[in-house]
Amino acid sequence: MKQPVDFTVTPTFMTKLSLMMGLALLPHVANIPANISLYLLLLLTWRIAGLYWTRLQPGRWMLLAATLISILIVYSQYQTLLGRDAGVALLGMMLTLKVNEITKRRDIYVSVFISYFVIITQFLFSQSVLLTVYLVAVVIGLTSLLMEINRVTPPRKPYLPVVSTFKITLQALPIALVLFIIFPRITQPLWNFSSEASARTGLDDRVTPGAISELIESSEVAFRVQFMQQPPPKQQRYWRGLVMWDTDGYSWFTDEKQMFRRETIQLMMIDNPIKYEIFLEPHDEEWLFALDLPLEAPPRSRLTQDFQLLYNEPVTKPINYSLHSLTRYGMTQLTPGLRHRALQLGENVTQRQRDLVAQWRADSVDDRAIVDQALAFFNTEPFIYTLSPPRYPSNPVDEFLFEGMAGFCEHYATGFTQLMRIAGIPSRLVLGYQGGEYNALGDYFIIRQYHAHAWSEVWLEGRGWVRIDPTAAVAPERIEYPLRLAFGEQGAPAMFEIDGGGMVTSMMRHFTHALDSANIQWRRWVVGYSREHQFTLMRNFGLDSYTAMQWSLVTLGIVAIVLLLVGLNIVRQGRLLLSPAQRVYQQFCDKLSRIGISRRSYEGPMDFSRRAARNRPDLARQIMAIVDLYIKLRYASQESDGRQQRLFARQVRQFRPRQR
Amino acid sequence: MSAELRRVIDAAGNILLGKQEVVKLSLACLLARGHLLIEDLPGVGKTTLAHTLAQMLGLHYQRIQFTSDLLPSDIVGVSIYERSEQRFQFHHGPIFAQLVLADEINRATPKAQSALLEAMEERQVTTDGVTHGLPEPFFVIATQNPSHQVGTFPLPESQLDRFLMRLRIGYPERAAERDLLSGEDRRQMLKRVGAVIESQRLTEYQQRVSAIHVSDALIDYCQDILAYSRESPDYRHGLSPRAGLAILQSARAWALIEGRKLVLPEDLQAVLPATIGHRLQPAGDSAEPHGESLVMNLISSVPIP
Repeated sequence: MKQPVDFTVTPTFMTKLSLMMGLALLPHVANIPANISLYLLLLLTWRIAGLYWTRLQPGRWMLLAATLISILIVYSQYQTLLGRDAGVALLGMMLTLKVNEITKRRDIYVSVFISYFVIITQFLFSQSVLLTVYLVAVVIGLTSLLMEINRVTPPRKPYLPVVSTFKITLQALPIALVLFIIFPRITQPLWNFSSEASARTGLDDRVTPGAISELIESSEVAFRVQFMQQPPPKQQRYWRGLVMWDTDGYSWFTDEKQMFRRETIQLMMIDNPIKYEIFLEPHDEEWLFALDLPLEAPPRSRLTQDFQLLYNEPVTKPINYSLHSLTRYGMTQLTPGLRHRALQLGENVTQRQRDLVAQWRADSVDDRAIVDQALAFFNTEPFIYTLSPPRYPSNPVDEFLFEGMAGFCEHYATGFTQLMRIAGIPSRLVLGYQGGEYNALGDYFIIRQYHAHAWSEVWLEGRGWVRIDPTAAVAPERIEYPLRLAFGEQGAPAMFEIDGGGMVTSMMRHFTHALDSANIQWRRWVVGYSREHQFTLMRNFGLDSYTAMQWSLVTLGIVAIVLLLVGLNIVRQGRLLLSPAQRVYQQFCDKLSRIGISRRSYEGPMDFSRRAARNRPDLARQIMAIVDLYIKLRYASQESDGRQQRLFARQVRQFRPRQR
Repeated sequence: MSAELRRVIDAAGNILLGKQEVVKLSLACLLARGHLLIEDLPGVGKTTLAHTLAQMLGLHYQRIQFTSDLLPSDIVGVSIYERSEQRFQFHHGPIFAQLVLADEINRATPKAQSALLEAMEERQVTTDGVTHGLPEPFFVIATQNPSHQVGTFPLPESQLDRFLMRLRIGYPERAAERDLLSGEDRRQMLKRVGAVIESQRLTEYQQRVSAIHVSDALIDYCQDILAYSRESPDYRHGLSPRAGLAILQSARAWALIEGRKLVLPEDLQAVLPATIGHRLQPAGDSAEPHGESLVMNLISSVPIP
């Protein structure tokens, strides 16, 4: 049997090991609270310092205490030791503590394998391409450490283990690829961590004035869109999310009880539908986003009569879907029920609102003219579009319309919708996103949280639901240019990025776009490779007649057979070929190895016995006797003697060295 | 360790201070009926080693100083027409000795070198159709300067292979050197010391070497070493079967000196640097390890089965 060199834990090696562990844990800094990260860093630093100042090395009781403290810290932070977040924190602590009790080669195996597991846990939080590349590098680093401790001789150049590991990784790649492609994918996650997900930013199912302006501070990606053809112009890129029918005068929402009443509406296509694909980030809610107005529902979701897309379950992981949308359309008829609902008013309607609307009504010939009057009202009166609107505590709509006159899109949309309802025009509030940032590298749009927007839809006879964006009447730039995210004092007008920004800005944008593009391809082809894709692939090869179960068994069977053959070969070359004397001698060497004297693979019996006897003079007589017998059995000329073999076996059996 | 051989080594060690290991290896080489190549700088005791061995073992000793104008006949001998006897008379060259010191062998032309090497291999000399047997035992110690020195004809690899062992003597340690510097002249000392064993005994020992048992396990180990040298990318060529024979024969001799009737892996490892150091070249650039360290890598890479 090949035995690597006698192993001693050198400080250099331990430093390397600790650093690799630190690197394996590093991305978790984003996932666990800062105080736990700091604690982990402290433990690792303690370990590395202990390598050079041995007085710092913790004793057994100290380690036990540190372990208990770690468990307490995790428990006090999470009130549990189970689940993803607490589990990861606990794992990190146990790993960093484990490094403190490394004495044998086996301890290093354990530590490296725990590190591998830590690396796997990273994917519970993120599956981005950058993280994957990073983690693959860490895996190579860790594996090269295993390589290093298993070498028979020290490597001639320090980087050689890394090179060999890299080669091994490349050799493993085809197997991994084949398994990735053909091994049946699990549609449901084995365990569900979604309940623990931190509060994600995103639209709420209730619009209160001031809700969206909080969202505007976040540049997190909401979703990405790739058009299969010419994208619509910016003024038409309204991303429909939720439709709000009901109001209590203060906030807008949709009453669940009335929501799914089946009332059909007929749609007339005026334009050809636009085909596109959406890559939605998880937002823990059920709704999906689509270009105003979606024509169909993607798989596992449904389209409501007010053209909202609802997923069958909360979106807790990234999903992709393809859709067709119409940007120009017409509708024929509004059912009385819906008309009634679209005219409901809250209790906050004041006389001055009624007066304003009555005046418009008197000046207009039809509903369309009233809408125009209202938009003109927003345009000509001194309304300000601001990212930091003042608070309107008692009657937000009224105070905004007649006193503050400074607001964000939801102020305009709610105000406008309410005025329309007073005028008897059926209207509703729509929540979603507007615009998007074009990524020229990947030819797609990125829609971020700060693209969140609210607008209105009014029912005009003969045309159906028409999108009216009162914000555009106040600040047309909102639709034309990206917002400049500099928050002035309360009520200050919002600024827009009309110029493209400086060279550094554009380079930065270029870089982030490249990264984003890589990520989206990664998600599309690797993370997003689903069971459906797999079945399509199998069908192309005519292999779809097998069930997932059969496929699993076949793949597992093939893998098992290959592993079995490889393993058999190794065993055949190794242990099976050992003579009885060798096997017993191996046991003898193992016994000595357990008390810290391991035979080097190239060490002959005489040399080894002398070294062992020097190390343990108390065992010298026994060792010498055993090795003498072994030499006689293995190297002397006489034919194998059963009596001597038995004597040898007995002596080795009776040899029970103890650690001093 | 065999008492008689022990005495030889001790006595020789008194002359060549601190070079017991070298003496032991050269004795093993002699017992294994091999020839020895000593490669080192001038003045470290190559000649003294050869001289000492000859003296201790009671061998008839001749020295041939190799120069660039040395002719084969200067080594082997020459047939001269004897007028009185009306026929050619062969005059034995200096090679007709039991221990021949071929000094600075790489200073001679390849022609002269090959005359010596042929004699070494055949253990006989043929001139003018007459074959002359060389004495028994016959042992050549050739010395050579490191080949990068000026005016040398480095021995080709095929010729190197004829030497069972190549040794480097190396500088003595500080204490040993001090004894040397303060002590008696070595040549004088050598004259005083008589033979420790008779040359007949040496022949007996040589025969006993062949009787030392080599187990299958050891042959496995030897084959693993040969296989490793052929498979590993570290070496330009693998070891030849002749190298394998050389290893086993030297290991036997070593085991005999150690007083064992069987060969242990340790014996094999002890002779390995000397027996294969000159048969292995590192692959790649010259910055790679050479000679002995190359062998040490090999030893530590091949586990003992």
